[in-house]
Amino acid sequence: MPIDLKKARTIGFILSGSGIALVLMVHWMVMDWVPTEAVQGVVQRIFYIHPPAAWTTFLAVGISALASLAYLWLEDERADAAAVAAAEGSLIFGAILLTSGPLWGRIAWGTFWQPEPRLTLTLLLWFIMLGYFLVRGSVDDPRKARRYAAIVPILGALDIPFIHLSVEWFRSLHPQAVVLKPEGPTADPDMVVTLLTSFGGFTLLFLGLFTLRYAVELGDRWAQNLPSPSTSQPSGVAA
Amino acid sequence: MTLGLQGAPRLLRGALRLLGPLLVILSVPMPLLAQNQGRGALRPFAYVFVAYGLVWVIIGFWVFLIARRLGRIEERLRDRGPGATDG
Repeated sequence: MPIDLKKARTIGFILSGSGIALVLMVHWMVMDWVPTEAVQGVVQRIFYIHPPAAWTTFLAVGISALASLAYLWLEDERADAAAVAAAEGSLIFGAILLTSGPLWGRIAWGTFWQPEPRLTLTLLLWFIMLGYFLVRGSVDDPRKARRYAAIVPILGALDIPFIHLSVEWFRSLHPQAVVLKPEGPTADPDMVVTLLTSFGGFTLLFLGLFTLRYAVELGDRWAQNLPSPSTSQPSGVAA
Repeated sequence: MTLGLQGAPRLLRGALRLLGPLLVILSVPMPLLAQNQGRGALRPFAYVFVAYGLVWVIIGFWVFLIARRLGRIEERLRDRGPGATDG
């Protein structure tokens, strides 16, 4: 088997378990510990999941793009499996990003959605990553499907700098960064600690689930190539 | 309370019972909830609650998909005997 399923499962459980513990801790901090923001009030607490979801989405798109580049270069099955696992993660965390943002905006801006640069480019990124799976499913030859689809996350990764810089380049409803600034964070220290804990939790959760999904993808491909029990053993598999 | 859903599939009935109260909170005019005392005071809490709840729903969906696929692979490997995982 190309991957030790038990080992991957253990690593995945440890990482995602640590991530869940940190996210639960963030829930407690948000409910009981962190101060309420003076202008926006309670709804500002969505802040502690929204930027971490954005960071995790970008991380997933970045991993998928790098793995796709590796696949285009080396045609290694493991790189393609990593690209698939990360692309799926980008859709999941992108969905969190694109649902938490409008809920916050409904109270803060008075509208769920505004066609402004950062929101539009983020939605575009989500659809680009959805396109990755559509391209994979639309070509009959599996090798060609993988090669064509590998272009898509690379295009998605090119969108990320535009999303990040759009609030500085254009007039935008979306606020500018309050933590990742050259002159240091301007938010309350307790808010920064809560946000950083959430960043850690989301990152570990993603890496844990990514590991499990990667192992499943490789294991699934390997199991599909196994002959039925009545026929001969596949090459490289001990009797 | 049946909500007239006797004919609906069990999963759909469960989902509607779970989401129904949330949709009511989000859609009911504030005077009904707050009786004009602090108009709009509860709505931000509801939005924060829904945002945090959706994190777990979406993550749970991905965990469910991964667990189902993992279960299938392990089942297929079990069918082929202990030697199938070597190598």
